[in-house]
Amino acid sequence: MKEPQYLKIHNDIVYKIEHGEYNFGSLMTPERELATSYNVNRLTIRKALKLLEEEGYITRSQGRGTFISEPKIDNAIDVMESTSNFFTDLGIASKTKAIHMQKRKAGYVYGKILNIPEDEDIYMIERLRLGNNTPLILEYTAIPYNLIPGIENYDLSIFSLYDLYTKHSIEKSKCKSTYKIVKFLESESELLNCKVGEYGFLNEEIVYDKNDKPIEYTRSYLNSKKFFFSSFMK
Amino acid sequence: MGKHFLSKNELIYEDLLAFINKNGYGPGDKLPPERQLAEMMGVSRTTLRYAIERAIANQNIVSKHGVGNIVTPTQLCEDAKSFLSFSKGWQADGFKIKNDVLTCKKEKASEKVAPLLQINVNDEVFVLKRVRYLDDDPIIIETAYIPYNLCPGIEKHDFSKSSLYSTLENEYNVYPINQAQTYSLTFLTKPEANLLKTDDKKPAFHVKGITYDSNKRVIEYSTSINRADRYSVYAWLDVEDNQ
Repeated sequence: MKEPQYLKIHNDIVYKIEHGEYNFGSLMTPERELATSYNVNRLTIRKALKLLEEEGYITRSQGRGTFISEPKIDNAIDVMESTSNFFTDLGIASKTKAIHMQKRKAGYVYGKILNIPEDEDIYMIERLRLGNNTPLILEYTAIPYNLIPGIENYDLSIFSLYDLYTKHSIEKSKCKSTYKIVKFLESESELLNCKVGEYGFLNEEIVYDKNDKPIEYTRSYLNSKKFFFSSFMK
Repeated sequence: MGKHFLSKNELIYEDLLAFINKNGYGPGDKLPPERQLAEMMGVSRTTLRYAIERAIANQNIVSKHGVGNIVTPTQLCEDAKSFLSFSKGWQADGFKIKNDVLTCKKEKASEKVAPLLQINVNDEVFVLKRVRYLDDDPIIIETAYIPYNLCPGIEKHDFSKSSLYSTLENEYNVYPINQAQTYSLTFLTKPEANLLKTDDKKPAFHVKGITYDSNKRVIEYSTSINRADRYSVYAWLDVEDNQ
């Protein structure tokens, strides 16, 4: 397989970004200059830049030019940590916006996931996580309503679920977390400032208590331009 | 109102998932044509359309041209915590393994690869590039770089059949024991898409890994492109791990 020319240039620019040859936030070298220095035509440069933009390494800003993006956030998928702690540890100012909450019947799908009867109540929460005021993660959570009766009285922009678990002596013991790449539709694109039809990460988590009872299901959409994942396999 | 998770549209999506599950449709099964499906679920075709769109976006179903909607074939869900060779890991899960070898040779380490392997530029490295198949579907394009002094003569092996790690262990006494990996999103180039028998510009995981042996020595740098429609990652996390 012959590597396309634009991919070689793309890889070279990624290497330079990762090795500090470009400063984050600085203007990207103009297309014309890149074409001269790589000795290719501008169409090839444009293809390389397009891939860099889709991957989030550079950001185009209408009328202002193309900039080197902030480094992506390293999300360790092999450790269990609350979103807010994770941001705080990285020095990112974390904010949560509770967008929508609703008590409803579990129904077939959530009854199955949470291992409760279909007609039992669940509480569904839609939250947007912001880091340094940029929307980064959209989370949909379902918990059995009985777990935290009266949960509708808490402001979930201020209290984390973790706070409420502690308050109600609920101990998380383990969690199964799955990551895949999915296409974003209108609702998540709008909230995460992405284009409809763009691809991003979907993380699904089922949290269990000490007795192996599922107590929480969360589906999160993550802006793939802002994150990468890491793990240590043993 | 109307666009969020609890909107009527999303509830129909939930009904669709329930329909699939209750009626015993499994991976690879074809769903009834949309008109019939709408009737069976008691919704209008327009309403069903959104649910289908969401199910496709979330990879619950795949729309195949000329065939219809199919429940997503079994995904290769890799354990992000346990380090197993591709062959061992997937064979244990009952998959049939196949490799096409694209490159299998010794070359000089580039200035990009050398520091990752903690060797000098122009030191010799073994490069192995393979397309990896599971049950006859090409899923992963993987390139491995190994310091050549760890495995002289290794390029003579036929890696369409042999496992790289088994060869390292059995013939060179090099024991890969763990791997630090990163995963990011990329898009397939045309040559990659051709190798993976799919369309270009489709999303993929770009996985990079550094492999260590029991002496904490770097023995491999690997980079791979994994089809997003067939590959995902999971981990079981314990609260105790953090304490």
